[in-house]
Amino acid sequence: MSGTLGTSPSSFSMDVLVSNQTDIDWELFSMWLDGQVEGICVNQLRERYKEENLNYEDVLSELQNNFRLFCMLEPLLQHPNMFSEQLVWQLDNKTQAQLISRYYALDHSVARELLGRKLSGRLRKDLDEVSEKTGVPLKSCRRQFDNIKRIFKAVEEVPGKFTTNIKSMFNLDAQLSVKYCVLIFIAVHRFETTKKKLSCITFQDFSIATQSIMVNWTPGFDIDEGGDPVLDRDYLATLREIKNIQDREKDHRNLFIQTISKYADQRLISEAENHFKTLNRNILCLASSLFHSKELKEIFISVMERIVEPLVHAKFTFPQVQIILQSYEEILTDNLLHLEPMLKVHFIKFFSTLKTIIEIFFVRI
Amino acid sequence: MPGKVKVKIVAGRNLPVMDRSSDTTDAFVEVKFGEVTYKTDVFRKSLNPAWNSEWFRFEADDLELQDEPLQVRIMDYDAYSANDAIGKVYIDLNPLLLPNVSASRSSGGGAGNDGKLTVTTSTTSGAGGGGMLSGWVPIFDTMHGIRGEINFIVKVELFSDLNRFRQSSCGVHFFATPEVPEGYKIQFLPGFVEELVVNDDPEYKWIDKIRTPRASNEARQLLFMKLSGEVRRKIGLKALELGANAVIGYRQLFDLEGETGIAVRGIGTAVTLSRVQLDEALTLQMSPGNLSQNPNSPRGSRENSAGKDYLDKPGGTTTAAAINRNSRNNSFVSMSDTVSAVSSGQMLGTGGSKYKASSSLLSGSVKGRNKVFRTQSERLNSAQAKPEVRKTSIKLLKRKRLIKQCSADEYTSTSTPPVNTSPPKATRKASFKKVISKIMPRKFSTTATASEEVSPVKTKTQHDFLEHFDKVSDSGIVENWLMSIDNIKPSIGVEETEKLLEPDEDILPVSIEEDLASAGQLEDQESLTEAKELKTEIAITELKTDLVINNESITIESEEIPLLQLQENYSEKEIEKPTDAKELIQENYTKGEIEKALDKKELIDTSEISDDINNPKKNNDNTVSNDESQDNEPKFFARERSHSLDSPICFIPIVRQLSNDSAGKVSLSDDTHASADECCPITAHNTLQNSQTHFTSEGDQLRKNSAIFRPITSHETSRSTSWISSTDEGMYQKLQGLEELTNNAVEGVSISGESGGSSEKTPVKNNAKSGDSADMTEYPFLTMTKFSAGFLHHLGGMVSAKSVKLLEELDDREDGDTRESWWTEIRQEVRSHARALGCNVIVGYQEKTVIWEDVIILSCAGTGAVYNSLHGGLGDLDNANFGTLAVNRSFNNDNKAMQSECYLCHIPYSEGSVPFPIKLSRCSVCERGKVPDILLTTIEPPNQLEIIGRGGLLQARVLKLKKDLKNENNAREVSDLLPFLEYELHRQIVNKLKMNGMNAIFGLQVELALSDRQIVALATGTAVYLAALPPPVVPKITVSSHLFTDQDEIAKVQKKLTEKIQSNKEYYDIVSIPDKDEFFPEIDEAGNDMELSTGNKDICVLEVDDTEDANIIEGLLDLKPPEGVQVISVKTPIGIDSSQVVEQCQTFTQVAKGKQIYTTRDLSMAAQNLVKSTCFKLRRLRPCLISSLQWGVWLDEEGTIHFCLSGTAIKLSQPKQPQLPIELTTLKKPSDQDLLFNLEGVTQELNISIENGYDGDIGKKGLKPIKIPQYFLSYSREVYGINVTPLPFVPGANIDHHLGHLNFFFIRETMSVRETGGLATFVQGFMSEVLGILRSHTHALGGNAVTSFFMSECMLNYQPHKNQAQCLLNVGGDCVLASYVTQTA
Repeated sequence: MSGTLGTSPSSFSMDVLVSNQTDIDWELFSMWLDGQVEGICVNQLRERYKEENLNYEDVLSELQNNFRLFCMLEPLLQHPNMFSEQLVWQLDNKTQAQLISRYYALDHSVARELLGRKLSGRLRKDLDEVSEKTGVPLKSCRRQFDNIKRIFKAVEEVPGKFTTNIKSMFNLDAQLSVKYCVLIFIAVHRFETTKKKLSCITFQDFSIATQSIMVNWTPGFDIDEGGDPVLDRDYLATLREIKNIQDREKDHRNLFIQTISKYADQRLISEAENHFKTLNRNILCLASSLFHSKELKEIFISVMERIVEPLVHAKFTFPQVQIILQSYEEILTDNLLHLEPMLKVHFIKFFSTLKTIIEIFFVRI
Repeated sequence: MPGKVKVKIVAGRNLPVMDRSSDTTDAFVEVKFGEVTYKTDVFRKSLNPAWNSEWFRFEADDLELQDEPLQVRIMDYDAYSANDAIGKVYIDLNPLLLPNVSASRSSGGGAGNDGKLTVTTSTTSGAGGGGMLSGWVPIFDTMHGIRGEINFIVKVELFSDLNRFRQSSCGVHFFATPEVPEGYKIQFLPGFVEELVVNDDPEYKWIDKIRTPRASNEARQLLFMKLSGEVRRKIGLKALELGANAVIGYRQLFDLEGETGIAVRGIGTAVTLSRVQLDEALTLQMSPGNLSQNPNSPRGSRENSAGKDYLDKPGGTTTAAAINRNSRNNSFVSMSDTVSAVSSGQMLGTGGSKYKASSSLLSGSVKGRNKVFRTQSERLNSAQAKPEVRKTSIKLLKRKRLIKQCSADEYTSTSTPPVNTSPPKATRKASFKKVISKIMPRKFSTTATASEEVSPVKTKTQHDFLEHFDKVSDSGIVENWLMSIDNIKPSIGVEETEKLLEPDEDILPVSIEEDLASAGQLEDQESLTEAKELKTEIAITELKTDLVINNESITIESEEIPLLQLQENYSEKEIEKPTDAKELIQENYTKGEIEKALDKKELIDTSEISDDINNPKKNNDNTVSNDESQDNEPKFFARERSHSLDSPICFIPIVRQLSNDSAGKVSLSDDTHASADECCPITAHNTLQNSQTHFTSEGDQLRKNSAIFRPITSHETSRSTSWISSTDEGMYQKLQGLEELTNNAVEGVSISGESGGSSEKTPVKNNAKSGDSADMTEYPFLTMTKFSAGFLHHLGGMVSAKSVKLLEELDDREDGDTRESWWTEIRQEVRSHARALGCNVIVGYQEKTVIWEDVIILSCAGTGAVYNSLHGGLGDLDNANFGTLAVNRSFNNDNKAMQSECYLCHIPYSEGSVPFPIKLSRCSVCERGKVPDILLTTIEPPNQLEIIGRGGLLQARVLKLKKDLKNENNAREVSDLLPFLEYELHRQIVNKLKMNGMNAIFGLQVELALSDRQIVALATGTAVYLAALPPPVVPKITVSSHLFTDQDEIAKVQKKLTEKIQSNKEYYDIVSIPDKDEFFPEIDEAGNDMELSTGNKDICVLEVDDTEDANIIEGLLDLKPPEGVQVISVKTPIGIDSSQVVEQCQTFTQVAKGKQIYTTRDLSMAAQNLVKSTCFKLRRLRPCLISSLQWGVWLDEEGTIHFCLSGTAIKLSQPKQPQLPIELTTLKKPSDQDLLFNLEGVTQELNISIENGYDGDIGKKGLKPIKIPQYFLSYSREVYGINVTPLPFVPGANIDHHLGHLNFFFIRETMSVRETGGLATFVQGFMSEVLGILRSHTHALGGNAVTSFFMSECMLNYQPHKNQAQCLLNVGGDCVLASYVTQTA
């Protein structure tokens, strides 16, 4: 029905539409989040509404209208609590929540890049490298960086659990807040994640690993009353006793073979038997040394170097590794080593996390 | 000291950081009202302070409560330097002054009997006040925008104020809604109210040079709020004085004149509203429009109560009540009745004292009605009285006190608790009664036997008279006198019929005497004292002269007196004003004329009275017979009619007018008189009779006048009377404008004249009592755009007037008067236009201004219409009578509204009398009435009209280049250009209408913009196809010059045109209508039709002289909105299937700044692009109806064009069922006689019938009536947030409560446009913030929606080089509480 208007003198140098209900066009919102080039966005839109024969200018003005809106929303999005209280933009709760979760959405690739790195101004400047590497638009990288930093700052010294704090302070949904938790946890404890050897480990991997750590190795909160980050010192200290288990290596190996033979064929048993000594040593050594903060920081790299790589070199398959680890764990859970109860519990907690990490890493390598 | 304001500051949140070093704020709050300021403690180092303050108490006059906003200022404490302002909140207390909603509801529920109005009584007694406002509200700063929120509680306690002279109008409910608000009904419609307040603009004061922008902005904001409050208060007062309790269709406008200051104007329609009760609604529905039941209808509640009074009184027998009923509750009848009754009372021969009584107590006199009716001669009398009545009403407007009295009278008479009657009133009343009594005797003596008592009294009276006149020409007392005198007249007339009356005499005396006993004597004394207090000296001699005149006239005929009085009135008014040499002369002239006129009249009267009905005019009209057939009244009407026509009364004013015109008003407006002149050729038979030879010069005018009358008579007699009154008023106005000297003789005359004027007042009282909507004021303007069925009879078409003025610095006091006079002038003009169309009312009335430097264009526009003063229940009668039975009867469920009332389209004027060429044809619905080929109106499409297909936006755009001149030259240039502009605009509208295959436009609005070099006009409306009007003619392309001979080209263009029309028709769903290739109006009896058609030809023919002209066609081809979007400019949804459910309502405001444009074509492109862009922006709402699309346009310093577009998009579900041919007609709300609105029960039924799916079940199950919204059901029961809508209803919801009118003025300024993200961001942010503030106030008042929302006065200054921008916004609407009704409810 519509006729054609040429490139007319009738386009507007300013074209603003304000509506009572703040209506978010999610397509445009993601374009904005990604900081896409306007021209590309406009062409996309025109393509979509082809039949309406839209001017470039018309679409551009709509785009800009929305982008302005998002820009005005942005400061509020950065303080989601304020956002829920503000009276200027009429948004229903669902839309609000969605805006927040979209704004705080993390690209795993970006998160991986930022993981374990100091969130400094210099890093922010270097985000273009991140962008280049990940293929995520720079603007988006910046936003993610800023989000992480903002949340980090807000949560870093507040006693309690990261997850709950993030949730309550930023109105993030559970999934999202976990991601930020991981990032912050790793950042707070300065876990080493950037070594080249770890480069194959994705953010999700770290996320799972870290969550396991947070569950098993912390006293139920991440920041103590004094505002310091906590890993369960007492717990890690008790892990030192694990070293003693090494003295009973022979027993241990027998028990291991005994257990594994329930699950594995002869070949695997003998292979495993061959490697048990190193494996066991490394595990025990790792556990007992976590007490040192340097060791703790390098836990990932240690696991990789000392446990996963040898297993890989030994040409175990993943199911085989699983069997090995499971058998190892079973010894503990069944307390075949007759450890004292506390130590047993600690060891199990330690090992279940370790097992998770090993498995994840093994898959990735 | 009638009010107490209590404020508690609870807490703040999200405050800005004011102390950079600690990143916190030390906030405290100042609460200011009037001159009193309280402070909270400082809450240290927090962005979320919790003050939880004590209650701050302010005591204030209610005047102050209305004018002053409560100011809450949030500050940051600073120990070492001045405290920093964080921001402010202004709270308009007016909504809190309204009577408590819940209270009113309960009382309303209980008192179904007298239909107690929620607002009326409490208005005066005021005990009901006591609203509360509490909640979070944004803190606004003019330089920073919103900075956090504050939570507070405000309570207002009102004490009763019985002071009659109070300046306040607390409790008058204001509605921006231009129709009867949902849940209310109109009981009484006094009409137009306006007010204008002028002030300096703080922005232009010297101090502005040294103060901060913030201080300046805040000063302005505060001032604007105050002025706005003041205007509202004053309008409220006017409304109260008119006996109304609410103002609907209220519009407030700010004229920012710059150096010369600002003018705040308000216009609205005063009404008395009462809440609709469910049971009432049901009864109404049960007995639709039976005459006998009318008195019982809620509308007539007042009347009813009055009727009851009659019954109660000993004199009034049951028969009186019965008759009352028979004679339908139409106010007119009752009025005339009363008058005659009074006269009859006099006839009975009780002394002068009785006179007083009769005049004062109308109710008493009314009893006598029955008798009066019986005799024809009596009827005549009453008819004569009518014109006077009219006048009175007019005067009422001006002199409000009188009105008050009237209301007081009503109260007393109706025996409702007379809250209003305060001592002062009583005295006044008394005074005039007395006067009357004195005067009356005199007259009597001359005519009949004079009683001895009279003579002594005379001298006294005379003294009194004199005093009054000199001092207070304006004072109500004088008028009261006059009123009383008037009453006498009819009585004289009645003499003839004395005998006839006699049988009933017994009844009358009783009542009168009663009255006397109660009121008369006391009042007498009072009046005396009063009179003395107002010391004035008027020559007794004058009095005598006047008396003499009266006597003469009396002897001759009763009619003369009215005449005299009229004339005298005018002269009197002139006296009031300072004088001019010219006027003097005129004055003398008039005197002479009066005498002549008297003679004339005498002659005429004698001859005519015997056979008034013989007038040729009447004979011409079938209507007479129609009327008669309708009911008992008709005869009566006929009588009246003849009288009004015959009576010279009408003409005297005309004479006056002539003289005025000759005096030559210098107005810059050019088009003003054109129409009047055009009228001249029309001659009326009557004219000759009435106008005597010596009036030669005035002949034209007279004729015109008569012409005006004619059409009226043909349609409805009652109307004619109203007309007369209005004409008089008009004259009066003009006179006011002119200043005249007076000599003694004139004065004398004036006295009697005044009496004439006053006489009408008494009837008015009656009128009010009867609760009918009949009374029209000096300006019969209604700002309403939607009316109940039967209220309007004919639509004449759009009338408008424009005037160009030069703003000059005047001294403050005079300033207001100047503005006022400008408006007066232009209002008169537009009124005269309407009259030329044979219309007695202007509906959909609006006023606008455009200011450029020192040139201001005033414009007002509306739709001329003929309204039915007998609205009481005639709606349906007429329907039957006119035989316009609806084609779309398919949904005939006892609802009259369903029937198409095509008579609305019938022309109200007679064919010969139209001042412009017009093609007429037979109405295609009833095939009887005559209809024009197109109809342009400013109102909403009436529900009664059958619309075919769907409507669409239609816009004509014109740009004219002008010379860049200054001052007077500029003004002249502009005024020279305006006619051309209007012509082109009109042509374009008509052409486009035809292109779209439509034949009518509703909601037509013209926006003007002005700059140095350009002048721009946009005319926007909604085009529809009315079944009653003939199909449009297909435009033909012709070539007038031989230079352009490319026949191919022409053929191509023509082909294109035809195709386009066809596609348009398809688009609008009106393909079924056959198009006539060329339209030849049927040749009617009136021979001049032929000529007219040729005259009109150019409208449907496009002339193409060259290729450029060929482009015109291009210009006519407006883009259609994309699929799934329908755009209309009116608020009534047209062509929407009501089974569609509202999923979302989105109200938007769009501001666009274009480029410099130099041609109409560019303008058109820009406007079209804007619509297109809007549709695109709202794409997520499709399928949707964009309705209420309002346009604003202005030009800035560089000649850049700005548009402001606002409206609402209603997202609808996909239509559920194969679409029934449901057009507007079925969507319309049920309209029972007086209910403009759907009553819950009724609506439901309607909806059930329409959506026989789900709703039918409800009906069958007999569930208790659920309120179902007017047009739509809602998608969900819970709708998030505050729904702001420009519509008068909330789509998908019922409005349960109206919580008050909101009106805010905000200024936002920034010195760092670029840093904030550019101008667009600045504007977008500001508009959003303002919306947010509006919503939060709504919420704080307990509402959940804003109806009739507006955002206007969007002034935008942008100085890029200074990086500075400033924006002014005026927003508001009606705060309501609505409940959503879902589909499955």
